[in-house]
Order: sequence, then C-alpha cells, then structure tokens
Amino acid sequence: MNLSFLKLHRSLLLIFVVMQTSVLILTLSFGQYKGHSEVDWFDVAGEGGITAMTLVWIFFILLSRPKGRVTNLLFAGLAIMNLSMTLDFIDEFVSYSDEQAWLSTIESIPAPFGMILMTIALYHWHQEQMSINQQLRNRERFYREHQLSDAISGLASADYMKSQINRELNLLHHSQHGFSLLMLDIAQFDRFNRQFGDAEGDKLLQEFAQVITLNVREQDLVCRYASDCFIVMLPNTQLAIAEQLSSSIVGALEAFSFNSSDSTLTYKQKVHTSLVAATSADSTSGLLSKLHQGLLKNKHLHEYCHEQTA
Amino acid sequence: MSTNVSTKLTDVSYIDTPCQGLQSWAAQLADLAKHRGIHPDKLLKGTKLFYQDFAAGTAIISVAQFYQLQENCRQFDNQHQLSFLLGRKLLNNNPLYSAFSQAESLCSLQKILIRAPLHGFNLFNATHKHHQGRHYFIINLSFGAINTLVEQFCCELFASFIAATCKWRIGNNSDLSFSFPYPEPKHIEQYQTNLQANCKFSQQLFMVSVSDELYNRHLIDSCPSLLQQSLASIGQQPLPAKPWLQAVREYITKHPQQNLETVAHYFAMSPATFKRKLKQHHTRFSTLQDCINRQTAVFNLTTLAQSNETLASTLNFTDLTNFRRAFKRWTGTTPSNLRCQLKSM
Repeated sequence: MNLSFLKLHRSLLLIFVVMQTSVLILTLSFGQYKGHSEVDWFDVAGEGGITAMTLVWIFFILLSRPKGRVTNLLFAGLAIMNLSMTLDFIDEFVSYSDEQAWLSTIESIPAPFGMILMTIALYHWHQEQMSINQQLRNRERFYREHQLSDAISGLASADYMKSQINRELNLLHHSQHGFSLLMLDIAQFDRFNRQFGDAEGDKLLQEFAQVITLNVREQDLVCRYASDCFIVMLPNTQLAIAEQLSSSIVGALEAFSFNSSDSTLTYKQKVHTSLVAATSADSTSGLLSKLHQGLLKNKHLHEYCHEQTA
Repeated sequence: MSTNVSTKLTDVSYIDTPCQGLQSWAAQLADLAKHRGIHPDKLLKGTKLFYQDFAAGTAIISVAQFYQLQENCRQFDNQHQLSFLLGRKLLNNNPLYSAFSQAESLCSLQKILIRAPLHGFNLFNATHKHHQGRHYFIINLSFGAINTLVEQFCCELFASFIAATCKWRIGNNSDLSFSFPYPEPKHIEQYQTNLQANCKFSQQLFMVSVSDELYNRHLIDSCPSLLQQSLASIGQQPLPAKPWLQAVREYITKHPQQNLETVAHYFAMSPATFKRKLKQHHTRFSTLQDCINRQTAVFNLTTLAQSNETLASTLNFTDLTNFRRAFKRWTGTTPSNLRCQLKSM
C-alpha cells in the first residue's frame, strides 16, 4: 500500500487525534462504568462497528487524496460524524450523573452537521471530478477500470483498447462513418534503452504518451499497446482524414526533443506508423494484426531506404 | 543450451539444486516488477527469498524457486510483459555478454551457447535440425515445464531473448520464425511488438527457425581477436552441472525401446527413486516418452512433410493402425487432421 499521501495530512491527523482524546477524557472523567451486567453487547457491536467503519473511511480519504478544499471538507464531515458515533459508543459503557446528562443529550447533534458538510464536499468532489474527466478524456472514453491502465505511461492498456475496438465494431453498422486505427512505434527504441537505460526509456514512453494525448482530438482514445507501440483510435473518421491526423501527430512527435533526467542529453526520435480503416467485416484481432503487419512493412521499408542512403 | 548426450552421471543438477547465476535473472525480474507497481514481497511469496538478498548478493536460487517467481509474475502482471522484458536482459551480468557482442555470425552465437550455457542458460536446451535452407531449433526446458504457466513464461522469455539478440546483432527479425506449443494467448500484442517475427501457435512444440542466409551472415561489427579473448575468459568459468532431466530425456531419445527399469538402472537409481525424481520434476516416464515422440512426429510431419509410413518406421512402429493411435495420444489429433490444420493456417 502506498502511504505517501498520508504524510501530506499531518495537521488533519493531529486535529483528529486531539478531538478523539478530548472526547475520551471528557466522557470517562464525567461518566461512571455501568457494570458488566448492564452493557447491551448487541448495541456495542452495532455502534462499535459503525464507529470503526467511519474511521476506515477517514483513513482511505486521507490515503487517496492530495491536500485541498475537497479533502478538508470530506475529512471534516467524516470526523464530525465519527464524533457523534464515538459518543454514542462510549454511552454503552458509562452512565452520567444528572448534572452531566447533557453529554448524552448532545451526542446526536454533531452527526447532521457532519452529513451536511459531507454533502457539500461530495458536490465539490463532483465538480473536481468533471474537470479531471476532461483531462482524462483521451485516456479512458466512457469506462473507468483502474486495472486496465498501463503503469508506465498512465494510458489505457491493450485490453482496454481491444474492448473499445470491439464496441466500435458492434456500433459500425449504425454509424455513418467507420473508425480508423493508428499505430505508432518509436524507431530504434531498443537501442535507446540499451544506450541510456530502462529508466530513461520509461521516461521517454511517458513523455511520448503526453505528446500524443496533446495532439489528438477530444473523441480519440490513446493506449499503450505494448512495449514502445501506441494505438490511437479515431472514431467516426475516414481514412483520408485519419491520414492528415496521423501526419500531424507524427510531426509533433518527431519535433519533440527528449531531455534526459540529468539534462546531459537531448534526443529526437523517428516514428513508424500504420493506419487502417475498420469495415463491418473486420474482427478486433484481425484489425490489430493488419495494423501490426502494416507497421512491420513500413519499418522494413524505412530501414531499407536508410541502408540505401547510407 | 546443450545438445550433447552426456554419460557422466556424477555431476547432475535437479530442479531444487541451487543454480549459479540464476539470481541475476531473478533480481532483474523483481526490479522490473517493482518498477511496474508490483510489490517485491508479493512477487517473492513462496520462494523463500527476500528482496534484500538480491542487493546483498546472498541469494543463490534453484530453478524451482525461479519457476515459483514466474508463477507469481503471471498472477500480478496484468499485461504479461515481464517475461518479454526480462528476455531482453538475460545477458546482463552474464560472462557470455562480451563473446555475444563480438561473435561473427548467429551460428557462432549458437555454438557459444551450447558450449557454455552459463548463468541460467542451462534452463534451455535445443535439438538442431536443418531442412531445405532453414535451420530449426526444437527447444526444451532442461528442468521440465512444471505447468502450463511456467512453460509459457519460459517460451516467452527465451523467444524474447532470441529476438532481442537478433535485433541487436543483425538489426531486424524479419526472417525469424517461432512456433509455440500453446494456443494464441490473449496478450498477443506482446508477441507482436517484442518479437516482431512470424509467430505460430498451437504447434505442439516450441521451435525457432532461421534461414541459412541469416544464420551464416557475417556480422560486420565483430572482432575475431576480441572474440578469442572473451572465449578464453568463458573457458575459465566452471560449467554448470548437467540437468538430470535433460540427461534422462537424451538417454530415452537415444534408446527409445528401453523401459523404466533399464533407464533407472543406467542412472544408478532404483525404479522407485527414479519415479520419485521424475515426480519432483512434475513428469512421469510415459509422459517423457510421449513428449519426445510427439516432437519428432510433429516436426517430421509438418516440416519434413513425411508420409505416415516413413514416420511410423522412423518411430519404430510396424503397424500403421498402432502408429495412428499413438499419434492421437501424443497430439490429440490424427496425422491427416494435423496436415489439414496446417494447410488451413
């Protein structure tokens, strides 16, 4: 489990610990233990369970989110709800004298405030999510499944692309224009890896992924197919338009200079491409295989030309 | 990789014998996985290894442990890329590296690998055949393929190694051809992009083939003097012990008519111990015999295009009906069906 985000929330954790300690000191100093026979263990299990669960929610919220307004609101809402629940839970074990009866009266007051805060937080979370979705539009289209993304580039994985191609093929007879697929491959990537190491190779892949994502349209989907090979799905796009888009993406990639981590190296790379337009007779595996064969052909052609000029 | 049948039976290694040099493959695999978000503790589960052992250089691992590592990889690596990535790095930290970078042809590379299968390369062994201008290498796992997961991982690992070596020394893999014993996997994209060669699946054997021209092509950046120097330093390295299962397989290939008792006697074991050793390698005597016959039958039928009669006599069958029945047991299909399948591919 990656606990790095937890370190960002030291102040929130401190507030939480102070709050819990004060509640415990307050209730235990004013209250008296009811006695073993008077404790209703069903209530203890139920209320204890709810208190423990809200603690787990607070933990995961802090673990998964960076600092910010939405995190603060979510934390505040949950912490206040947890306060009510803790009071309710301790109530099962202690009873208060008549002068301190206000403690059991107020126990349910924080909960609604906590819920109101949570509701406001969820509204802001929704707004935040809409803006993130906008940034991710070329990476995920309609469906989110974190196991289908590629750890190195942050793009969708080959499995996700296959499922999307399948979907588009099923929709093909309803749409006016078919879709096209563009495959991009970094020339001499293995040589780059051998020369500069895998860490730099992975960095190059990440930056390549960003350049491609910046240069595609809103409706296109980018994935890392495998190794140094990327696929861009171009929905509702005929081959002629796809060719124009392809050359603009290739232009951007070949103009992009890669700077190594220690800034000692600037590297420009060539790109091989392959383009196919889908027809209703195609299958997902057939299309991908056609695309890959096209790429190999272009690669060999390029190498042959290179040898000739050399 | 080794093809010579050894009669020396004193120095053999089993699947649980510590294998010199295998730890550098395991360490690279653990780091590759870690970099892709798989926690080393998850990856090393059940291997009795700790991640810190790799950095300290104290981990000497057996083939069984390496196989366990492969199974864990398959469980956590959703994209099935680790076998291919490791395949490109098999020569890192290996004494063979300098000889590989100086060898004058693929033929010479292959000979180096046969002569000195150092630091893990004794996991694989190959039978070399030549037919109509092409060289064929039927590759077997020297310590056995304990299950389909491990078999697939090892095939991908070795195929990726061959493809990367060809690309490194020749520049392209267009003439390279791979046959895999299992059906086309879901992660076919890894085969396409990492191997960039002709791949066939459901072929009943793991085989690599290359044309005469490419096999003997002179590699321009080779240096004979440096090669000699590298070979001399390789010569000083202790050779790994012969894998016991490989020795058994080679003996059965040479003496197909001998039964379990005779073979066990040759390996100086009681039949019960012999069976127990085979079981430790997740195989049985009849399975080994069937596997050897299947490979010969499939190769002779698909590549040499032999008739049923010739094939039956090669495999010492006097009766065609018996041969067909045995063929079906080995391959799950009849000789004529297999020919039809090949034509339709």
